[in-house]
Amino acid sequence: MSRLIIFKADDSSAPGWETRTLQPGGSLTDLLGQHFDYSNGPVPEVGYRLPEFKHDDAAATFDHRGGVTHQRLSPWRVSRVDEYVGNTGQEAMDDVVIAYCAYAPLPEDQNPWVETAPAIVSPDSFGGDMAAYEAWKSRQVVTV
Amino acid sequence: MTQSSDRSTTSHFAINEDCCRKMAAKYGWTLLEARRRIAARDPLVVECIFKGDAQFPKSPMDFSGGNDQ
Repeated sequence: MSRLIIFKADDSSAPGWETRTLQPGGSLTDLLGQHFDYSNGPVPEVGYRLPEFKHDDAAATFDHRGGVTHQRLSPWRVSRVDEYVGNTGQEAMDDVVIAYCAYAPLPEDQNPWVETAPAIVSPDSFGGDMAAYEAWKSRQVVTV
Repeated sequence: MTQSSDRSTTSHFAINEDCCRKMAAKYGWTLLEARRRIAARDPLVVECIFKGDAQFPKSPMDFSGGNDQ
């Protein structure tokens, strides 16, 4: 099944409100993120935290080739979950969940940044276009 | 273990965000974020970040330790 999970701040005045804007228009928003879930898993539980990511090559062990280098738990903790299930069978997503989040940062010493693994490249990276994938592969520098 | 302690993610580069969503639907993954790849020197300008260990049943090719410069 397909599920769109929309994460929203439960308080539009929570810290950082000045920079929570929709681009390119700049309108203020309480949207924090969205997940496209095809795992058939459960909806997010109260207490689930959104992850946050950063790009910091200087602190990375691997070459991430412009991808994110680190992740940790974000300050946003799910406090309430509303679920809306499609009723026609024609919806783009079977299920839409709105997860309201409270701003509850963890102490820095309990929430270190952890380096992520470098990204994978496959034919699916090119939408299944095997020729494009092979062309990309042929341009990669092989290091020994 | 609760969901709040599940930190693991897997990244895949892609040519656009649509490819991220297609991968999620094809393999039953959860797409957490699609981000613009910084200073991409090839068509793979988007990074798809999936929840957990989003590996293929049989990995076609993994350039995770490679260098595309």
